[in-house]
Amino acid sequence: MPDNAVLLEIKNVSKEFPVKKKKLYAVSDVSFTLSRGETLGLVGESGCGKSTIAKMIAGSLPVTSGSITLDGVEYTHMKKKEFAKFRRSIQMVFQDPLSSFSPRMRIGTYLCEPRVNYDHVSKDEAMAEAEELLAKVGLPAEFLMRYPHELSGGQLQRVAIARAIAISPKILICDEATGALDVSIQNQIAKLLVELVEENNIGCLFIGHDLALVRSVTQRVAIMYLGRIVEFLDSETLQEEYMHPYTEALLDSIFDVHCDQDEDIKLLAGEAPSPLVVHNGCPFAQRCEYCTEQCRYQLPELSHVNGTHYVACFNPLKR
Amino acid sequence: MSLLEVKNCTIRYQNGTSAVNNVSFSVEKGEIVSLVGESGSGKTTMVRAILGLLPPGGKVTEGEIILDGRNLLSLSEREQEELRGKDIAMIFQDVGASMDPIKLIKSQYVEAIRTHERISREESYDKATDMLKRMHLTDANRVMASYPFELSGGMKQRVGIAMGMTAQPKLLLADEPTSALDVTIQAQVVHELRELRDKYGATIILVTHNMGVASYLSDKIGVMKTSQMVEFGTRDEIIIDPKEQYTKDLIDAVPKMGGNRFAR
Repeated sequence: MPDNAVLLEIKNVSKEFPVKKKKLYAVSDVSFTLSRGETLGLVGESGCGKSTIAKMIAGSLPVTSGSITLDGVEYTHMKKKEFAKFRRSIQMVFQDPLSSFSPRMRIGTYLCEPRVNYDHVSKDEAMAEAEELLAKVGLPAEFLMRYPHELSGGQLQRVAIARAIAISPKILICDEATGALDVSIQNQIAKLLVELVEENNIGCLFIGHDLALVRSVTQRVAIMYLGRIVEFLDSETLQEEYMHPYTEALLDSIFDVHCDQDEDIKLLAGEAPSPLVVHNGCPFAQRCEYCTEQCRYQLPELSHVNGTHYVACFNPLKR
Repeated sequence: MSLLEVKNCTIRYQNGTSAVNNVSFSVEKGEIVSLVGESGSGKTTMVRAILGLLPPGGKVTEGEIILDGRNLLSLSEREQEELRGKDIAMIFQDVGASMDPIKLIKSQYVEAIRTHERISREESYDKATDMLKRMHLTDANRVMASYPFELSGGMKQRVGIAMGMTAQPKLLLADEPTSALDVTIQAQVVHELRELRDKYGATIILVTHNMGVASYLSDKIGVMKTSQMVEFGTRDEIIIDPKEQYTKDLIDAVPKMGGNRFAR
């Protein structure tokens, strides 16, 4: 179980992008915390702002407003030089492993790089560590001399994870880290991540669109829609306790292997509205079957249900 | 007689590696058959061979592919061209990428219809909008007057399916038609495919790695692994009572909502 010490705190973070003369609201007023040894899932459809949040936490995208605090240090306005050292605490693993590797760099060199650059250890020392890292992610030492194209997608993703943990980060962000992999490989990577998070007692933000997978590797899940978090849930009891209509729609959209073919699919009509338009009411109102007049002009706040369960809805589903 | 019969089909690339090895299966009229398996197992190569569009260097070296009594492998280039789009249509994973980015949907769609049918532009336009409406794109005229980039992924996919279905092909090949889509949009497209079969009697071969989608849509499922068909049977035989260990593993590997969690 995660200990209660808060590691990462995100408070009222918003991100706007200028688009021509308008503004695109990518992330609006998002707050959450992440503890040591905890994995938080972030689920939503493309364009809902999950990756924007990841980039802001990693410091590769400035926030428009709000604060991000890691271990008590607020770093959104840190000077470039200072941040260059600070950013080692936050590492990312991306969706497509092959495109995040340099095709001409051997796996060994790739794994040594962070230690040599940040900690100025000798190359030999770093290479010895790289071997240990490979063992940690379940790969043989001979991979050190290989090139990325000689490895499969799953193997490469293991290397990417090994590199991310090489300099003992405090936070690991996995942005669709298993999205491009086959199901059997996906499970192996998911298991590996869970082990590493526990072993190293780091915090992990796991971004994905497959609710079933995200649920299997996290303790808590945040559901996002159009730049806002609409529900926080406990992963274990997600299915029994969800209250937001959008969470229901996401669950209804999953095709279970053992589904009943004669059952009609419950469809969520339409598509997410444009983030260029300012909405006064609930962002989900246009597609929500429980929508009332209030939903159209007033924005529901995230309110506490119980434990770690929060929901932003005027007419939450009755439990 | 089956609509499509693939008999002992082996497909090799120039370097001699076989991408499909001795694969046989059949598809009846009005059926949805799914080919499932991991990436590189040969499912896409198989359907591309049916369409007669193997990548350069690829060739069916053994076996037969018979559609409605005609052996597709003995057809001339011209006969094949006539077949494509008229008897067999294909929808790809990323329909957007197969569209011309600087042409309106209207002109692409009308052109596609007029390559196969000698009808006027106006008639083609009406045919197209009619088909788009069937795909639940209610504002068909606006879609027709849009460029591909103005449409969302789900809409483009539906336009692609509509374009494929306009000529009422005997066989629709769908290669990962929902994989690039969000889950709620995926559900919409799965619904359209189901309706194509239920309402209009379409015969569909679906290539997918999503076992859930295959399980919901299919009458029969073929499981492919390293260029071989390890198991082929009705949906229930494969999903409920799989014989091969590989099929069992594949089904177990799919994350399920009520399933085990790795995290504590």
